[in-house]
Amino acid sequence: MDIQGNPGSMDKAVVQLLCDIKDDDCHIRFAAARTLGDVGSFDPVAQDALLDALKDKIWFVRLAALQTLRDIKPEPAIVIDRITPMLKDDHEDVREYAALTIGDLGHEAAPAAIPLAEALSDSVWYVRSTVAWVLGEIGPGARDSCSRLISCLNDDDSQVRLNAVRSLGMITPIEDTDVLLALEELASDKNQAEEVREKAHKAISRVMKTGDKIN
Amino acid sequence: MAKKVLIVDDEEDVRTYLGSLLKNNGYEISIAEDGEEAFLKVGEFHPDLITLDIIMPNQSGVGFYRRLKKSEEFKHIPVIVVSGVTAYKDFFAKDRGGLPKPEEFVEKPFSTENLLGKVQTYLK
Repeated sequence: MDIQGNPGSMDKAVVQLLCDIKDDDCHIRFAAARTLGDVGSFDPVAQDALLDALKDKIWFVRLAALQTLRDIKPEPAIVIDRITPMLKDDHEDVREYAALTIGDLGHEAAPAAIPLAEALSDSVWYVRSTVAWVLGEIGPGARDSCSRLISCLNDDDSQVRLNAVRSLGMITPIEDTDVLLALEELASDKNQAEEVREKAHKAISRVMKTGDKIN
Repeated sequence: MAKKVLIVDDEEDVRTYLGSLLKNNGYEISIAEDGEEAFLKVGEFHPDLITLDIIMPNQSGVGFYRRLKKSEEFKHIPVIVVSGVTAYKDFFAKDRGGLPKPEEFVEKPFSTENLLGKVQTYLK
């Protein structure tokens, strides 16, 4: 079926890839998942096949499907419904890429803010770091994640702390004194890396400026 | 003394091909089949350069790269990512990870001259 729903008129290449994405060989499934983005990006059947491939038992097939979906940009509701659960995938690269894909939605990713905030407790530092960064992309709609982002200010990894600070500056409303206090504490903490303190100062300035505009 | 290259790839064909290519051009090589093994080899072999696949069992190339570049001892080692999927460049955006990007990306299938040229650039 093609995009107009005409059976039999679908591109032969897409038909083949739709078979390949269910092949027994995971490398063929992987290649099909990546190639579908090139030839079947506007075909809803291809998109459905990619969404099904998100449940593949092999992590790199799931990742390939995710990457292709990120390229073809499904509707925000589809991303939220189908990709948010992947923040709990078994493989760290898949979890990180799921966060990035959700982050592409910007403020439209607000419904995923809570699951993202939960992912700030991921065991892998670079997943936490990317999730912290993505929450900032959502902006004020991720306000419910602030308390978890504040917890990240004590993360063992400096990049997680940096991204948490950056995002707090992009999310926090001026009336949220708890966050501002946490940022001020961080900005004056001599034990923190220079870069982290500097970012905290910038985040505070950003919050204050946003508040000025509102007032 | 010959410069040392660590080849990290889960595909035997690629390891064999790259290994022969680099040996024939005067480099000493060591191989690893996944990110976990690669990190152990880095400590034992002390490579001057690493060629890195991304999709591998256990720890992926992404995980290995980040671990390497966070290590004070090994972060200076140049890395050439050799992957069939260019989308992996997304993983190395500095804004999020805070780490430098790999020195080079080479897409599979690669040409001998292209890869060798890049290796030679970093191992002069």
